[in-house]
Amino acid sequence: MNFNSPEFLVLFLPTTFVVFYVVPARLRLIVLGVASIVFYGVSGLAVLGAFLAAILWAYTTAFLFGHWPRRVTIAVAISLPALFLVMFKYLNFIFNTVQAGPEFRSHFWVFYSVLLPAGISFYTFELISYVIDVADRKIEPDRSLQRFVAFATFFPHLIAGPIMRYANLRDQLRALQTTPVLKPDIGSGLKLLSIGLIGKIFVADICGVAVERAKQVPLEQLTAIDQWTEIGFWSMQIYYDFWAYSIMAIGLGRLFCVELPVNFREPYLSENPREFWRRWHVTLSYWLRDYVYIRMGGRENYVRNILVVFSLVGLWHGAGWNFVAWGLYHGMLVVIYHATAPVWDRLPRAVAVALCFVLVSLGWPLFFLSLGDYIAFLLHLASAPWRVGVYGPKHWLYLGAILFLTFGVRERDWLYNEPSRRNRLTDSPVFAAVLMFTGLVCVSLSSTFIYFRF
Amino acid sequence: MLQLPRHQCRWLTVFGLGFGALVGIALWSSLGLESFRDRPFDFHTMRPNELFVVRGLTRRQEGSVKVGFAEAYAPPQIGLYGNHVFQHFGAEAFGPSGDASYFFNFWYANLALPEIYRYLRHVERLGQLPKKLILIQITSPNLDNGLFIINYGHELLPDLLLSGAEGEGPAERTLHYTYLGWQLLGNVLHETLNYNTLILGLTRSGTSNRLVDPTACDPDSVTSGRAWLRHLPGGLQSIVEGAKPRSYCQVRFWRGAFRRDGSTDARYESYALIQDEDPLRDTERGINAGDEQAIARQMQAIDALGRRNAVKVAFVVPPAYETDRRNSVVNQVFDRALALVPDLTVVDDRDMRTDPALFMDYRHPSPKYFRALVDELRRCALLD
Repeated sequence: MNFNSPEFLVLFLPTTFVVFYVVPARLRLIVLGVASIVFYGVSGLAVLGAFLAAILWAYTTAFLFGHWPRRVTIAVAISLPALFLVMFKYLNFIFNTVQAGPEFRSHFWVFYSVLLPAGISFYTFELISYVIDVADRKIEPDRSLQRFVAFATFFPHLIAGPIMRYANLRDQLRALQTTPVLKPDIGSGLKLLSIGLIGKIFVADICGVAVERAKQVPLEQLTAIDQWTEIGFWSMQIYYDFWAYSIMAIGLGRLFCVELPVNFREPYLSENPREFWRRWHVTLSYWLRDYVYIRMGGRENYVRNILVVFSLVGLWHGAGWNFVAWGLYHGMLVVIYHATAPVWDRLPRAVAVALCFVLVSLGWPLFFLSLGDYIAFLLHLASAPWRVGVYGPKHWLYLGAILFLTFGVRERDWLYNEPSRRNRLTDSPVFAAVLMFTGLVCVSLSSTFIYFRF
Repeated sequence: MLQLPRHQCRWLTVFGLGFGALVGIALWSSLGLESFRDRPFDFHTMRPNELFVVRGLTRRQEGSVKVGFAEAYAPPQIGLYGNHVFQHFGAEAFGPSGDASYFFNFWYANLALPEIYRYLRHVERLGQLPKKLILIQITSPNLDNGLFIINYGHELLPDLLLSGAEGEGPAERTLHYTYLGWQLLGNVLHETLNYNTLILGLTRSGTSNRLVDPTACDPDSVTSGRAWLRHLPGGLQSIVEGAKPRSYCQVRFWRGAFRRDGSTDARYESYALIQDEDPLRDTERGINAGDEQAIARQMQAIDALGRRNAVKVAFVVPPAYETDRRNSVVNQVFDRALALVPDLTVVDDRDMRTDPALFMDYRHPSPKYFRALVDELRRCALLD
């Protein structure tokens, strides 16, 4: 089920909300668990079965630590979720890479022809982090199955993150089970939900439509202005798509008294590639830092470790060489920054932000193009004439407005502002109602969140 | 239980009242939309060059024009059921004298097999099935990456949705009705809470006489119009210009307009022919392993409907303009489905994918394709 669907907004959410607050405290997590399973199960029983099997596996095997050797237990505990991830997400990519014939592929027909379970990369990483944290004795394995299921399935973060650690949710979930009277921040929850909905439909999706305009024309006919405009729209589409989902997730969490972390901290205001990855998809960056980078030795072999980590970032985002190349591109940017930091850090802030934005934006087409098409795109960009082509003033005006919103307005002033610093517009209930309604009647214009693919 | 501080209660009350009022307006506006089933339009009365303008109608209203005709007037010899992919399939493909009594194209929106089955069940109950041949267009798997074959939107008229409610025993029937109830709810929600319905409902643009004869229009007026409209997004243009125009004698109104055989005229559309336009992403497939059974079941149900009414049924799978993507997963799933129904008549044209003359764009076949298709139907002895 999508957050941007009438079924979710009009039926699922209000029903779950009412039932959650009506039942006794001890039943709240069961309500959340059941609702989340329904939320996920709508996309198919097979993928739901795999999801529940992975959860139960991680829950059960976590108790083997202390009884079995640590490494063996880790391997066993993560084996099933990791196997599902490989079989559902990477099998076709592997087969294409090794050029497996149809005869061989037919043995795996069910796996590579089943739709990728939504959010599989997110929940697999969450389950793996739980297992490793238990192995490292950072947390105790939780005996409460309903709490563990609620952690893994909690629908606001289930499909597209943020990637939660058990330690961050455990106490909040316990509080839901034990606090008789809850005091949710409904106003702020609905505000974030409605702004996220509008951001998805009227920013991310319209940028997507604008990108399509350039696709209607053969690459040779595009001008340099067209290509830069297209890159600009791609940058905004990807960012606002994920940003919108993330703030909707935070808003939904607040409706149920669960605080989810901010996953995007105005990443395009970063002054260098390293900072960018501390602001973009924060929970993925920290996951890879804690469970891969540091365990590989961190700064001891910086270049190798960074390139490995960013290859994984690429692969996490998609099963294709274009994604690997995108990850490596970012890895190289981080390495280059590392080597040139004294020079880079002396750049005026505006120049550094612009440079970082342009470099990051040049990588986004890899999200949508094959490696060959991307190279052709860049080669054409280098030689294309500078004149007006398929895009015109209305496109630049729209892109300019979004760029202004991105670079000229700080979220602390209107989105995540403190209750004491009330924003007269965005904190108004009338504004939220109008946004929510507008979003609702325009969801037919909307497409699936890009990160659902991951 | 929950406890809200005073300011939160006030916030929530204002939000609830505002949101409720807006939803109320949307509901009211959707109730005011004209259905063309109450006062059905008779396509038999159209003159050869006339068009029925659909600008300013919701997609469901467009559907109601076709359904209203199917319910109230004499059925054709040959009826085509499908979606927009076959919208340019006109009676002229059968010869120069074709009209609505011989062939009628009942396409609308993005109907898929389960919806087409329900549409046909409804028509069957009214005794209004085509007399000789039912053509069913199946969306080619590589169009929309498998969508709209058995996955479908929310565009079937609600009562037609219920017309397929059948089951062997009480338990199966209950399950079936529960599932249908969920679908119906989604169907109503998507139609009511929709910007198109809202604006068109508020402007009440569906009631005027919608017939126009382009050959009788003043050539100077045909290309004139409000230039500022062109700067608006496409979707908004069609709504604004569709609302209560003074005259339909402008070429932009003829886009998507129904001809007297239910088809639309490809000359008024603006297409760009792009090979492989739809990427076949593994993460966005509309059909997957396991769906072959469901596809076969739907095809068998439609075929059985034709058999019990002594009407021939042929399924047509059109090509997409593409390179060799025959081994896509969605094609493989569909091949497996076809292997389950060897007795059914299926005209599978997926391999006619390379000749640009057969296409208007990646997904819409051209009139030339439809002539070739009719020749194929003749060879299969499906036509007299």
